[in-house]
Amino acid sequence: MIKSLTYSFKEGIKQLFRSKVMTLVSLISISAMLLILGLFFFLSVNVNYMSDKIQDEFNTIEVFLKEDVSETEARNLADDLMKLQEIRKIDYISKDQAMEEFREEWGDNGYLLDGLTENPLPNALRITLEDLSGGDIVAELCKTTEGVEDVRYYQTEVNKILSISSAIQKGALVIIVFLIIVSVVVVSNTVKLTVMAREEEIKIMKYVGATNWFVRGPLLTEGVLIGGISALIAFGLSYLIYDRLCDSLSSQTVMLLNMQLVEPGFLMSSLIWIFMSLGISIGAFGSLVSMRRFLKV
Amino acid sequence: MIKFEHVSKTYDGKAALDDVSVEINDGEFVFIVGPSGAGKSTFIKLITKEIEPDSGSIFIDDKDITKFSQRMIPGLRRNIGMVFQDFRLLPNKTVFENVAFAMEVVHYTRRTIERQVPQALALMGIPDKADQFPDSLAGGEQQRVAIARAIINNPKFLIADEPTGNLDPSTALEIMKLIDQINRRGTTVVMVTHAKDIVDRMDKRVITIQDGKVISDLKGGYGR
Repeated sequence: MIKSLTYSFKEGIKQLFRSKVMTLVSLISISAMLLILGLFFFLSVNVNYMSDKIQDEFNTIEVFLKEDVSETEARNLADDLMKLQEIRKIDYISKDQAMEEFREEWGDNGYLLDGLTENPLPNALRITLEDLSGGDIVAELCKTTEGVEDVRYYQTEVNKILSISSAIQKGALVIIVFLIIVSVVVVSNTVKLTVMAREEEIKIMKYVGATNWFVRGPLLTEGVLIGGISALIAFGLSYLIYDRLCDSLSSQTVMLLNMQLVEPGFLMSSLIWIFMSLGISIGAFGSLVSMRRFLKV
Repeated sequence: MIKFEHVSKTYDGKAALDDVSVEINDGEFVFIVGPSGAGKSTFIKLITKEIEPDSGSIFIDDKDITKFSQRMIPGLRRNIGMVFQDFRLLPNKTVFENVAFAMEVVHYTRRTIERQVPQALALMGIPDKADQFPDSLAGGEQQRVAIARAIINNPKFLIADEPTGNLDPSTALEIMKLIDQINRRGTTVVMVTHAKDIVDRMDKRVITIQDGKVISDLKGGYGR
């Protein structure tokens, strides 16, 4: 058993070097496939990450209160609203606090606000939702509540962004599945060429009494090795590309929507496993499938 | 012992073997002769279980191989050495590797392989060709390598399918001497051939197959 395993392994490696062109073609095609797959994986993960962030940032409803509502009344109102399940927490934001925040947001241009003699901002309640799905109900309820001047809730905008991001994710998933199928076909075809080139050898092996596993062993090893090495190559390239991408995005001073990519470290540890398991199973599957016909001697 | 009992095999409605019953005893040397397409190759392929008969039984050493499962085929073939007209050597392996190959299949140790392969090559009269590739050898030498591969595991049977078909007469004769020598060591030899002169000269049992039937089974020359 151990002897036949070492035989398979030795022969498999020997074969890799013997049919250099074939090995190279398979390596390149699987690596390329995995690399593209990896890029879509990055896209999908980051879109997911961003849509989570958007949800976090926009899961608040601003309820502006009328001038005559006192802080105590406002806090009572807040306590009433807290009975709703959809609400995680409610903060009371006085007009002075609101002005402070405003000034901070404006940053260097904050001096423009110094010209104001009177604070035009209303007192407000800031409602943080459990999740976005409950937003509509709460917003509607607040609008009809006494003492409420106006309600601001970016529901339509947020929904639009969320539906786009889910479309992107679905698209990425479809492409990933498609790529996996394509790479299995590519690998099984390349291995089929290798096997066809060795049809005679396999036939002779069978004539001298080789078992099917004795014939399969080296080819399987070859497929697994090609898959594994391709996975490493694709991983290296993806890592480089992603690292560059993160660097160039974070060095950009003007940023849209506070865009930030998921940390490479976290992503890469899962990517190496994904690539390894995909590469190895693609290699093994490809060689087993393409061999089947030739074993019937 | 190889025994065919009422064996029939048809290809696309055409009978390749038709109710053939033959018995070959241990240690015998048997020629199978007959015109092309008479069913000689079918006969050999049935022995190695490359194909299955439509009806009848085939016994190798009292075991009905038509009842063997696919998994038992390797064991069967390890007991049968095969030699072909076109040698069937692997061009990308050296002579040594080509012969060693048959031993690797049966999981012999490296040490045994390195001891026995040179012996077999010496027996075949080509001890100095171990590191050469088949393409650099003459036809007769290639067939010697193929025979070395066929007998390296000491099979009980040697099946030769037109082993001299691609060789000139004098080389063919040398190959026949080797095969005869192997037979004298106790190996049962079944040889398919067209070469009338060889059959006449060897003076062995001759089974003539024509249109899928055994039309004669005699000791002596070709088609007498």
